[in-house]
Amino acid sequence: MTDSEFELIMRRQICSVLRLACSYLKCRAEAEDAAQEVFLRLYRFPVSFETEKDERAWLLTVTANICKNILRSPRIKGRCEADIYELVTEDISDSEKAALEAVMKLPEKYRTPVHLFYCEGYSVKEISQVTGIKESTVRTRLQRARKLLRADMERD
Amino acid sequence: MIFDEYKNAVNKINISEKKLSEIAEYAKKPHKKSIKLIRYGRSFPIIAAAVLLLAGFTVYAAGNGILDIIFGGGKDYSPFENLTGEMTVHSVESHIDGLDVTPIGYASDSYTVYAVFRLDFPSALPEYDEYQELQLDGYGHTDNKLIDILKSFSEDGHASGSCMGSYIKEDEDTLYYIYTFSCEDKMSGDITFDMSCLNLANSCETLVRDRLIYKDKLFSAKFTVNIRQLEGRRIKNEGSGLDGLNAYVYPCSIVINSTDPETVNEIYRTGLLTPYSAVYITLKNGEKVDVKGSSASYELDNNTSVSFNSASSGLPRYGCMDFRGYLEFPVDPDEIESLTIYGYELKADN
Repeated sequence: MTDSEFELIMRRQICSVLRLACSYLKCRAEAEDAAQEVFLRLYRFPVSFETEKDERAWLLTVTANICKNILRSPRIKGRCEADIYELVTEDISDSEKAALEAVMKLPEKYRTPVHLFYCEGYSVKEISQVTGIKESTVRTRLQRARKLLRADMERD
Repeated sequence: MIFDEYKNAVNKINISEKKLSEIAEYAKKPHKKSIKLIRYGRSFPIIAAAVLLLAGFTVYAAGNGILDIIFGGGKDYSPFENLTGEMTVHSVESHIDGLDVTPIGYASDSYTVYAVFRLDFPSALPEYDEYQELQLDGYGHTDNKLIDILKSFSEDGHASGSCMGSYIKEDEDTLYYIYTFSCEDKMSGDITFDMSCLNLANSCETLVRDRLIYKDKLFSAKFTVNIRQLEGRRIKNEGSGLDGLNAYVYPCSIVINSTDPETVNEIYRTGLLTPYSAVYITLKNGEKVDVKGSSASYELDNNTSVSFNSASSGLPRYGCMDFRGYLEFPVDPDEIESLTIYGYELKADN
């Protein structure tokens, strides 16, 4: 992979990578570090992709693994609760803020399937491939996430 | 509706041109070796290609977890997943309604296999956070087929060994189950496990009380692993006070042996490999990895055996020893700084 090919992929996918990392880590700085690690791996262990879809799936899978590793690190524990509004780089509306806050309040196991399903447009099968979770589990988690969000909204 | 709003918000997570350039430049800069276990995992076809297989144990759950991630005991277990090979899973059967069992992978060398399963319970484990790690370790018992299985795959046909398991908390309704099998003899080739995780035994007291786990079996799994022959990392012992003793570290285990009577006598005299002796590895980053003894780890000679970190002990009479132990969690042998045996520090041979 040439440097220009690498940069092209990076430009094409970095937002998806960063957004997934933000969803996992809820911390802009940590998410940027994770994205850096993802592209470092791509550069050092170049992979050839047949389609952009494959390219994105590979990068998101690596992102998910790196984020999970970061979350397991004792170093990160308790440090991921920064202001979630710092994640976004543009002004967002009140309703968008409320939605972001509600989803970010979900436990990580529910948040990630929600992110991949609703933001990346991934199917249950694709989420299963990216996260390494069984399809049935993904379905259950999406279902529970919806239930939790509904309960959260009703409470508010 | 909320998801549309969420998507809109997430779409506003962007990256600046400056940060993008920084990340690109960082990737292109020459870097030192990558994180130990990741590099090891990548360079090691064992892990990628390894295939897990299985025949029939019942799990004997106990001990300390290799994925202590949840309790964050100061160690970074996160690279474990990068060390694992993809299991060849023939069947996984849950015995509790709604329990979702996902095989994660395994790590192995000639003496030890770690296989990891994730258990997603149908509902949150109440009050779970109040329990400590030890309360979650449990004991089952080995299936009576264990000995036959050991015979079937050990290289000389008469090995003994042991299996253990640990439950490690992932979150309120998820546990990792880490199945550890260690063999006194060398193993090689495809090995099939037929594992039945009976219950959470000790921890079951807690969990049963909460009516969470009330059946005898949690799950059963049949899987295959492939064991490759690996060179152990030799640990230098000259000048350590234990000349005559040979020590090798593998990714998941250690081997310590000696045929030098004086060394063996010295080891015995100092009480070195007694049930209470401390053996651990220090990695280059300063992290310590405990060595656990298997139940048949230390055979001295006729009627004399000393098991390390287990209940039995005996007298060495004939001046030879052969000890096998497994590591608390897998390591990259290249990252080992030293091996400490009861206060004697043996430097890794660089």
